[in-house]
Amino acid sequence: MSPLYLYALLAEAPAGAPPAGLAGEPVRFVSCHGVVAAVGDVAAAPSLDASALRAHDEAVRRLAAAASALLPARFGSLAPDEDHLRDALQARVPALKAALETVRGCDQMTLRFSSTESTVAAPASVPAGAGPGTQYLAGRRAALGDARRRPEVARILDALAPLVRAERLEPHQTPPLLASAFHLVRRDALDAYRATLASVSGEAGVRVTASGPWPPYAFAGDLA
Amino acid sequence: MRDAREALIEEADASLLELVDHVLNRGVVVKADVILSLANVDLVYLRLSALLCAADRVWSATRTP
Repeated sequence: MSPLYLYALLAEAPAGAPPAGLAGEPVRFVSCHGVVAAVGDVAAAPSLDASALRAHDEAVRRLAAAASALLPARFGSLAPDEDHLRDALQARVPALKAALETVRGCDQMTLRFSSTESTVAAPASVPAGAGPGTQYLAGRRAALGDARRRPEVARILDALAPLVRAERLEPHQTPPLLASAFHLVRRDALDAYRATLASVSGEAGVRVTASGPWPPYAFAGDLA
Repeated sequence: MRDAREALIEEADASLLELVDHVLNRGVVVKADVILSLANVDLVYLRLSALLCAADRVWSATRTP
């Protein structure tokens, strides 16, 4: 029996002909306690190279085009059979269903913020007379960074906020990269999102690079 | 010419890095059943850092006045 390669989890199986998978195999749908797993019967795990990553992404995109609520699986998720897959998912079904409703009708846009200045952000202010614990925590907060502490980043995020259903922010410690923002945007609001981004991305001191629309890869990770 | 080269390098790397970050670094993880060789993952990140190093060198070379 061939193992199952997992592409995505869906709220419901899409109508129409099943799309092709990573190796050209037809994708089929396995019902798992109220969510639907899109899987392909494969001979073995795909080799890990750029073309396989692209093929995975393209298969997920074909599924996303036909489905309104989809959570992409991470590359390389392989289950020995349907029973193993159901067992692995069972405990997380409530969280998966909630995540599927969050992403319904949305695509993901990814923004990378980088600094165009060589200056380092001002250190976080520590309250006068703070104890060693407070000082330590203030230092940790400064090290982890808060994307919104940079006013030019906050202005861009605030301008986009009305078009964003959900936001994930990731600070970065490697200059010049400041932060990544992942935005869930309704598919019918993508044009408005791009137009708004273009109108605010001229902020001095920060460069923003957008990619997308993506299937909502960044809105499924904490379900592990 | 220099600008075109820079743009080309930047776009090629950016799209591959975005792909790697999204497809390999995010998405639903089915822990119990993932059979993805750890050695292979290391290899991808090794290649990735090699790519980044290479890009870095080209960048500084083309940017030197």
